[in-house]
Amino acid sequence: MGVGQADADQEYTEFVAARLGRLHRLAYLLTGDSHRADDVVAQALMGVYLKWRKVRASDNPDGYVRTMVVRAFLHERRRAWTARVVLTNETPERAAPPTEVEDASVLRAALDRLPPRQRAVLVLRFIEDLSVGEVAQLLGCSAGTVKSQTSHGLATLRRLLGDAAFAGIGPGRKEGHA
Amino acid sequence: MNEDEVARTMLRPLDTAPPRPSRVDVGRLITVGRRLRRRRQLAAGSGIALSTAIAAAAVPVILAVTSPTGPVTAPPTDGAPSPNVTTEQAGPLPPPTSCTASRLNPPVGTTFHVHDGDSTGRFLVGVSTVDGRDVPLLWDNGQFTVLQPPVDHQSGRLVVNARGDVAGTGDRQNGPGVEPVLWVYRDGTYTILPQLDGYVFTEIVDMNDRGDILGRGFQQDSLIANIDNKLGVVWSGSDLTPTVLPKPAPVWTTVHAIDNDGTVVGTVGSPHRASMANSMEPLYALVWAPDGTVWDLPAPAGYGPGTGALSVRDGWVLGGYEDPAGGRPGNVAYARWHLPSGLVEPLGDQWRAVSVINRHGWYVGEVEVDGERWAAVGYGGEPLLLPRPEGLGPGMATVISDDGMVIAGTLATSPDPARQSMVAVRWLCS
Repeated sequence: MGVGQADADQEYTEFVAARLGRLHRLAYLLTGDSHRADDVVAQALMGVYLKWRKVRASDNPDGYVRTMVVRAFLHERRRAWTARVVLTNETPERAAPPTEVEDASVLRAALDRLPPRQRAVLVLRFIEDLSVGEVAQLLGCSAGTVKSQTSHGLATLRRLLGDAAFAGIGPGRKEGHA
Repeated sequence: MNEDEVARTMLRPLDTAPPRPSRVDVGRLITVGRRLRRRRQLAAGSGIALSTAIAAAAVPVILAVTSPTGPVTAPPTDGAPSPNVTTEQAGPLPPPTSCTASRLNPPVGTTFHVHDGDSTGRFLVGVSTVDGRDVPLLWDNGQFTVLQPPVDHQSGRLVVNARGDVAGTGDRQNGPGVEPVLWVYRDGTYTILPQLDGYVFTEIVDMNDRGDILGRGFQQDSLIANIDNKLGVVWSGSDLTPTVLPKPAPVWTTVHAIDNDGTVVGTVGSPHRASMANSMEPLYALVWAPDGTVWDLPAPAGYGPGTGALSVRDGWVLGGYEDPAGGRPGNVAYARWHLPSGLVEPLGDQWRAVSVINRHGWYVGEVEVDGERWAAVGYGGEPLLLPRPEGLGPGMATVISDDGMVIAGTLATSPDPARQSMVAVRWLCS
């Protein structure tokens, strides 16, 4: 291994070490499971390592790596149904009014029932606070697609959690600004 | 409040730190990445497709996967007990017909998630959450013990056997990183389970009555990150020596349960493929027999092809199968298999989740009846709904004793969602 590669590895290590917690948190938000989050982050960081020269030369390395994590989640090699087959600790679903949805596990169970792309859109927009344009760029789709995914995702959550939980959000109402 | 603000408010409860730090080992990623890069260069020079090259190097030997007995499919249960099951396999005991419930109040905290119980109904294990941390608890016939394993943070599943041995998973700081610590509690002493060169074992999932412990991990020196190199490991009950279970294909393996004779069940990516290229093929329930043979479980006729196995006891396996037309969440339906006879029997449309099976083939989980969810037990016919103590809502049964007289699980408090928490319930059935 040459000196140049050693330096690159050192750079990569420092870059990743400073962001590992944040990336794990993002993957955890997407997957709802620490073990799966580790898998997703590991898969993404492997891709980052293999493209490290391109990543560090990019205008926005943080955005690049975040994109890799989200795409690793979207391409996770699992059938959806296995995620439904669990042994313990499944919190029962139940409807709840909006200000009372304080039990994260109930919300988590509802979010996990969304298709991965809708779930990613909601997490990125409403927890990570990215704009519609930023999410569109990250997912490689149009702003219109992000808006429709948002609408579909929220509609599904409303159905799962009860209408009262989403008072103020309706399919015919205006979407948020990009 | 506009739509975005409402959505942010709704999703805010999820904006919390993960229950434990990341276990991704950056140094290992670099090691694997270097090798993968060299492989890519070699593949580019030789014209070999990358995915094939990776798969072949990751797992050099692909084991044959066979079905030792032809499947015998029973029709879906419609409420009547299955004659295929109850006449011989149910044993001398008739199924209980009624159960009474009681809450188990933990000695610390207010919540108690039941993770596992033993085959006699004497022991239960689970966690209470206190100040955001999981506190492991052992319940022994009415007496709680707060366990104190040698970890910084307890995480994951706790398991217990009929001897009262308890095993679990936690984390411990090691230099700048965090490492998994797998432990077992026997005769008042905690022992950290040994790792094996070349592997990283990350979590405990089950333990049988002779003390064999089933866990999961991944191959450390693999060409791909651990997502495709998950595997099962069994620590011998006699001396805790770890043995890695053979993988039938270069894909991930998720083990779930170990029987008293050492039989292991789990789920694996399609055993009939040899490369990573077609990674969306269905998954298969797999059985690792004590004699070293490995085979997959078929879906009921007309369904599948995907299957998954969750629990095993005396030749009975509890799991699920793909049913795309069933309209259930995740396109999953549930079934039990009887390995000696080859029987596979759908459990019925009411079941929304299943957890464990006992030596009579009786099983527990959660059902939905008229839009309402209940913890329930099944004997091969119509499920028996488990009564709720006053003030408790829906939930999941996760423990059933071998005689079927003791069932346990976790229910949600209700009706106030804002103060809802999870509490343990034990049912005595007769």
